[in-house]
Amino acid sequence: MLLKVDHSSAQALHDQLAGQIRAAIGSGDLRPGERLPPAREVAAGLDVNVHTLLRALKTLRDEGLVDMRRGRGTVVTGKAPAQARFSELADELVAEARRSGLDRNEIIKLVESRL
Amino acid sequence: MNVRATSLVAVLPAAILLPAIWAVAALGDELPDPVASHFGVSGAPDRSMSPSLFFLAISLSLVVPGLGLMLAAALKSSKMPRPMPAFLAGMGAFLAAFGAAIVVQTVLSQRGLADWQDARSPGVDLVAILFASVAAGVIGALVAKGLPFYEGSTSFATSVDGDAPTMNLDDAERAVFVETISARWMLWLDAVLLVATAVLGVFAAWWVGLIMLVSAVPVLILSSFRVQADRKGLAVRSSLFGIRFARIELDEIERATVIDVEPMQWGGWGYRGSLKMMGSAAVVIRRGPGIHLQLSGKRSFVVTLDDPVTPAAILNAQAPALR
Repeated sequence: MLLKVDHSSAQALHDQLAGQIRAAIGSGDLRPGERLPPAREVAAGLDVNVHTLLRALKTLRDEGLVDMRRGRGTVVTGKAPAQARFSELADELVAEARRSGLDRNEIIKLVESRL
Repeated sequence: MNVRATSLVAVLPAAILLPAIWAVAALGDELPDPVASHFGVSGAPDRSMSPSLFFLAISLSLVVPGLGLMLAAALKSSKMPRPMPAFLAGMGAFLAAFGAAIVVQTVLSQRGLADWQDARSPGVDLVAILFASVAAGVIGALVAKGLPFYEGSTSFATSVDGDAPTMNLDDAERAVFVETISARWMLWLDAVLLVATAVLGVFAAWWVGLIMLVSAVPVLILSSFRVQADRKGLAVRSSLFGIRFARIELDEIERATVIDVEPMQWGGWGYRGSLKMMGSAAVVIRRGPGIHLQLSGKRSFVVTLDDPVTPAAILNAQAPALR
């Protein structure tokens, strides 16, 4: 598993991390049932606070992509692929829209009009 | 087959098994049925079993695996690097003798008893059993030491040709690569050892189970590794207990290349060599792709990985010599 963060980016570190892990799950790089390496070791390697990484993992847990259990670490769940794909697409949409200068309300309106 | 190999597959097994076979054949009739098969911590027998079933359980969990290891050492020694045949034969002879000694002790201490509950605690016999098994193990290792062994280059290659991939990393960017590598056959071996632990712990005595557990734990620790590459360098840990086996600082790394690992070139399977003593070490769990780190002072370090390209790229992107 490869994780990369950019400390100079405007995007929050925990968002970058959640996005990377989500993408890894979506692409099948991280498979269902696979255990993520200890957060402490990974965070140290990325020069981020362990709580920043845990925050990213909690986001993914709320999305149902991973299971977090005390003592057992973080495990990729089985229902990942579809969910991960949507999150990835949403990430792309938001990033692209921001780049073109759309603001929050405009993006929401854009998506709402399609529902 | 030379004299030593013959001794290993015939003479030594015979020497180990004959006392047990004699004890069962000559004195087996005098055993109570059932025999005491398990002694509690207090030393009193607390479980019983028919003698034939008890001897079968001991044979299958200790004697047969032990003889198998000795046979493997005798037949395949020329395909193994130096210490392997002696290790396998020693371990095998120890296990087989351990089983045989338990059988002999059971027969000698329980013959003539009217009831299994009268059996006395193995007590001091334990010392004799352990002494005899360790002695058999040492003899097995010494015999196997003289077997032909793999004489190809086990001296560790020092310069290796291979691609040195890299990636772009800005000053503010950090990348981490983590992969867990597991030796499946070692996990299987461990499963067997743990089953034997459970079987012996239930059917024989708790301390027999304990001895098996002590041999299962090191195998478990060495069967699965977690490799992490980041801006600090490369770290290899036991994935089950988090123990760190190796830490290569980024400053020491001159170049990371992707190679095809032929286990025998790197001293065999497992954690081979020593960075401090031999200037080179390798974590090899299979044949196939791996990462080769060329280190300062002409030292080198190798790990087999499913994806050696990504960690090599991370390390090369930051390695001082290539920056």
